[in-house]
Amino acid sequence: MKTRSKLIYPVLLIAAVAVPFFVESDYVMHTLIMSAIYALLTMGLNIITGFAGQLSLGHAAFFGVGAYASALLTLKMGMNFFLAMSCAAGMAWVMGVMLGFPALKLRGPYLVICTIGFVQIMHEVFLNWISLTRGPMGIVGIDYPPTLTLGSWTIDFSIPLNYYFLVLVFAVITFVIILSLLNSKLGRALKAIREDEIAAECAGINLTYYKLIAFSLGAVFAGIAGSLYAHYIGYISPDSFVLLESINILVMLVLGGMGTMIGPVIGAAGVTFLLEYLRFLAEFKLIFYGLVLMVVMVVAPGGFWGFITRLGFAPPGSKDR
Amino acid sequence: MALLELQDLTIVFGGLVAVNEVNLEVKKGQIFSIIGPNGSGKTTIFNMISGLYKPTRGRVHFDGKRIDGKRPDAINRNKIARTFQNIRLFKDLTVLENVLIGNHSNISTSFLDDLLHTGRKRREEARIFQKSKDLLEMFDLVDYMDNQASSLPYGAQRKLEIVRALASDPTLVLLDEPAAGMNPNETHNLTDLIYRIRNELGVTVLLVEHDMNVVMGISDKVAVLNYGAKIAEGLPKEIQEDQSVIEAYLGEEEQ
Repeated sequence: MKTRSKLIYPVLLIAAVAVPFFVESDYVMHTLIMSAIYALLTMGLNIITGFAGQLSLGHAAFFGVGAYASALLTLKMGMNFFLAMSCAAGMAWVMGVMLGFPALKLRGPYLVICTIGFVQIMHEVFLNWISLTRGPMGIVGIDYPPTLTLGSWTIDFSIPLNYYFLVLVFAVITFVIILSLLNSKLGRALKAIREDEIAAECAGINLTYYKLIAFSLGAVFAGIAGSLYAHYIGYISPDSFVLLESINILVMLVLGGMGTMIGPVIGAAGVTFLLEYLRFLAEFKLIFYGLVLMVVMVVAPGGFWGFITRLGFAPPGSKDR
Repeated sequence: MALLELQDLTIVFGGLVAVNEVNLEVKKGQIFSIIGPNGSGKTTIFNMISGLYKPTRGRVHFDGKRIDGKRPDAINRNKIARTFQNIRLFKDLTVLENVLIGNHSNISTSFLDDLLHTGRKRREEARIFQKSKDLLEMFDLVDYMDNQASSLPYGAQRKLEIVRALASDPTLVLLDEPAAGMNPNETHNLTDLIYRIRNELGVTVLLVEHDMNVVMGISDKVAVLNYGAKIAEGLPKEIQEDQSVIEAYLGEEEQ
């Protein structure tokens, strides 16, 4: 049973590698790149909310910190893209630890309110620290990552296909990291905290340490996503990092299947494409989208992947495999 | 020397003295029971020993160290494990995962080992997998290994909690009403298992239990609580004949 469900990973990878070669329009290519960026974000939130069970609406803040840090470091200090991305991830990590501290005390709706406060604060910082962020005007002219030269092989990231593969590499690395942590001491500790905090700490799990790990890991992946977003779009403004964005990421996670490996990837791609392909509905788009959310939650409360698992295509018992 | 020693242990909630100057000594290798009517403070004592409550006054010494006021996870690392009166399993996880989590305190892998899937991690994982399986075998739960914990029958869930506690290699295990809700057959089986925990695994047992057949049958020593205070302590036989104990229990039945 287990081996059958693991087959899905290479299948998914091959699909992700092959899909862009069948895409001819720039528009679909753009949607694919955004899907991959959102997959990174959703996988990060999955660590915090899906595995460790800490419901958070703070993810857009980590995304924003990553984007701003990476953009400013390359533009103002002339830093190399990959170095700037590492710094951005580091800053997001610090933010993750900061948001992790309230989670030591707060649970459920109280924690959610606290994480909303965090997003609001970060949004105000982006908006009002004008000398650094240019405030509502945003930052323009963020360059693509520099062309990589590997021997006679050059990779120009201003070509969408190449950028897609750049994002995909980070998404795959993230996926593998989460997968290897999942079935280990760390992964089990996070799941234990999600299931029952008191039983977890009586089983020797240090709640402080593991909650901070969950928030900081989730934040690091969001920071990397922010960096990849900024250098792809070329323009960032405070409007991109608001509460609605956090909600959007949470919707992707829940729709795909919280606490599963595949769910966040499918949720991110599914919602990104859905929102693009519903454009023809014009003003009815969000109404229809809202209906889809309601129907999915009623029919499949465990999200898409949770639903598939229950149909028997994946092993029963542990929904995390 | 005593393995576990409670000195003048007291806890006050608001105006209520829930546990009042309790002194106890549990020796290594004993099966020691605490009994008493509902609300007499038995579970509260467990919560203080396991670090969930901080005593208002008094001390807890374990294995020569003072442990009162430490966090629950630190106390687990000090080799005290516990079960809960109202079962607290990791319900959505499998039986095996519950036991693997119980091993947490004695897994020596670091974050980097886990991340890089090093040889050390693989060896540790293989070791705790085998150990968990052996424990499940001992408690007749190995066939349920891949089932969701919440799908087990009630009696099996109680046993699984004990297995999870034992997985941390404790020197002392606190069992909070392990026989509650079990049928006579299961209770008989449980009594046998508690013996084996002590005799085969060498774990000292501190037991809170209402089922007098269990308590009187297996305990080396029994302490009786009433309204948070210890009113008697002795061999099971002495306790059964103790006038103040009989009054405490009869008094409860009259209400």
